[in-house]
Amino acid sequence: MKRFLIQTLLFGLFIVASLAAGELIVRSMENPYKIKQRYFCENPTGTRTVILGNSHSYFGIIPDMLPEKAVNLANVSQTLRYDRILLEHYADNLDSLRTVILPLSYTSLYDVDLEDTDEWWLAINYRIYMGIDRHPAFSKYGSELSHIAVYNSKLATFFGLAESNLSCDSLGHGTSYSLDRKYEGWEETGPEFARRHTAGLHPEMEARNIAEIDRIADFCRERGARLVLVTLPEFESYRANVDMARLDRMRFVADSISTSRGLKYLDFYADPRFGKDDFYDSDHLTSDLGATKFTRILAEELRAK
Amino acid sequence: MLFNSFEFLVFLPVVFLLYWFVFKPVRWQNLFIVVASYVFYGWWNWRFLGLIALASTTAYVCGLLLGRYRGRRAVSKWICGVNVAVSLGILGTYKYYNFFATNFSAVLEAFGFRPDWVTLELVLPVGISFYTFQALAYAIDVYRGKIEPSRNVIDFFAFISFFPQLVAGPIERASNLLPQFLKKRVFDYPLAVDGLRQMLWGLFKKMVVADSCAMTVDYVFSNYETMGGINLIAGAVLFSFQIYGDFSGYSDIAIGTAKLFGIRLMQNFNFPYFSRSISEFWRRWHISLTAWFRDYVYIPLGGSRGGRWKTVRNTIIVFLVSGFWHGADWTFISWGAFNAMLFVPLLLAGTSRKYKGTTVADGSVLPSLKECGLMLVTFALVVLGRVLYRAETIPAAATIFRKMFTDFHLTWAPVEWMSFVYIAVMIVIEWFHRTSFHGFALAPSGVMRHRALRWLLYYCLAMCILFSAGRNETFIYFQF
Repeated sequence: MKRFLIQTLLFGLFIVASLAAGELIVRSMENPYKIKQRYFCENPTGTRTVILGNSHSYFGIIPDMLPEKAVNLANVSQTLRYDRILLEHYADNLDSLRTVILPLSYTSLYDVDLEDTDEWWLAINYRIYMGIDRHPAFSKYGSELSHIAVYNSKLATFFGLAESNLSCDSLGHGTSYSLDRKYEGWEETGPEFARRHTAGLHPEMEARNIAEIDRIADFCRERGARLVLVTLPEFESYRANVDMARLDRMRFVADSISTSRGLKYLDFYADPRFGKDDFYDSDHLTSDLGATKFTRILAEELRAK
Repeated sequence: MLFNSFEFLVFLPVVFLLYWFVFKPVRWQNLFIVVASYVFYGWWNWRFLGLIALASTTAYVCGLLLGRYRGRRAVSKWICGVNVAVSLGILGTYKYYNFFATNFSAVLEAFGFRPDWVTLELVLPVGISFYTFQALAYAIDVYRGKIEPSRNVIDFFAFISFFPQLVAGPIERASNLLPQFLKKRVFDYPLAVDGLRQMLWGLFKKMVVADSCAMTVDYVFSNYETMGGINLIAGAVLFSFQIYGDFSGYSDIAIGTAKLFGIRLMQNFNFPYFSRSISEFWRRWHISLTAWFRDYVYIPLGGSRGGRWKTVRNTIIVFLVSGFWHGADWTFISWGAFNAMLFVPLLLAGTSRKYKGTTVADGSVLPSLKECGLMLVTFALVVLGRVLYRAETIPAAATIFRKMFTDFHLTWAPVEWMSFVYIAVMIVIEWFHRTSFHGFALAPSGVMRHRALRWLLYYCLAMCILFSAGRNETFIYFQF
């Protein structure tokens, strides 16, 4: 028995050591969260514009094209709660803050906490790479191993067995949704994406998410910065399949908040200036052509009074 | 609790250590096994613990009564009947009620009636087809005088609920498993090491081989109408390996786990894809179930004693019932019928027992061309049967069959190319162990006498398993 236990333990240690080595490898890899954290280390002051939001703005807004020094703090599936948490986390680096761009999409008001979704593992990135201590370090959010499938896919990318689809530039803008990487049949994704997003809506979260917007607005007001609410363009096949009542409600709330707080709300949802070439799929702009066009238009709006 | 889950990774060492170091007396060990097994099963859904307890209690009490009234045939028959009724009643209600209600309703509607049946929204308890059969077999064996009734309820509950084989077999016989719970277990180092080896191999077959096939199989069968014939053939072949990896993998993990506790379960798969005929295949695939049907359906019907045509009739009945056991759907019954159709000609030709007790290429490293041909033909027939098994409906299966033989174009489908590599590795390793109890029974001889080499092999398998983890594919046989 003793021999069995020792040998099993020894073998187990080899496995654990391998997993730990894998954890170190994965943590050494570049990722958008690490890049955004590094931005603030290299730019402790002077940032005037912050872009928040989810994958729409992560791929769709280019910081370099905005009038003032900007950083893209948006991330895939980022919720309003994490938008607010990021602002507060980097508050000491935002002494020059003048503008916060807060995208509101079809789902924004009805998102549950990221940790309560199938993409809960994204919260690991905030903990490990940005040091956001919403969860303890010794929790499932403190290790890449907690979601072994994602851990394995990152290792596969490291060893060249798979391609990463989350490259981003030094200002946090996601660059992997480029025109040359568009896939065939992307236009047909509209109904499926809209159906999936509609199924994931939680109307009971509206009040909570509005409260998050209010906190972001308060944050901006305390620093003398302006908050700009934005809805990015969506492709027609997506627009045709959403729940119009929910969409109208989101727009109504955005209008109400912007009116009551004197904010700007820019609604590009069905903007006719955006055509097929500007979209990567029915739900996202391309990170080159579409994002360039959108950011140019957005910059003009920001310059206007 | 799944074998390939983090919870089981914590559960098993805890149970192992408590079993050998704390609960040393046999009675305490058996009681602990019952508790651990109920925790294991209840982790999935505690509400169904009552069903296992009911099946176990009924079989136990019936066993005692059968022992008391031995010699009184009518009473014994009645007692056995009660056990059969309860076990099959549980199974029938949860698994087959809606099938019968829906089909009976369809028949009545065909005659112009409009029945207002109630179909039940019942969750199928995991393992129900396995533990009810195990309980049933016990009572029937006591009735037949083959075994003495158990007189210790804890030992009996441990036999029925023993967690490694509780949810997907092997379906154990009381004559094999119950005596092992009655005697003192002594830790057996070679058995435990072999158990770990078998578990590792089972995890490889399930998590690496089977799960890597799943994506392509699911896509092909979900989109069969737009798939080309070549895709459908590939899908059926991959499904054949998926179900083998999944089910035999589970059995290996179950048997290997039992070995850690000094318990020897029966072999459930004997390298069925190396079979040279359909009859040999059915002697090697899901052995515990085919043996169960032989002993409790085929033989009571008369077996092969009533002449050729009665033998054929009994064989067909067994295959149909076996198909029905797999699922309450006409596709499974058709699959049973298809296999009966393949088996009966061998029966009539008198060759159904050919190759019994032998292994392909026995004494050789490689099979002969003839043996290769026989294995390929047998495998092809099995693959065809798998279409019925996997298709959602009979019309879907018919469409797939038609396209497989008439449509020879290739459509795009997602493929995990490494699945072919994993299948090849599995075939090669199992080929070289085809005369062993399991596919990874490394004999410490030849190059394998070097521990470093054996450990390197274990490490490679473990890394493959970990690298494939996280797909969250459930075990196919859990649905039975």
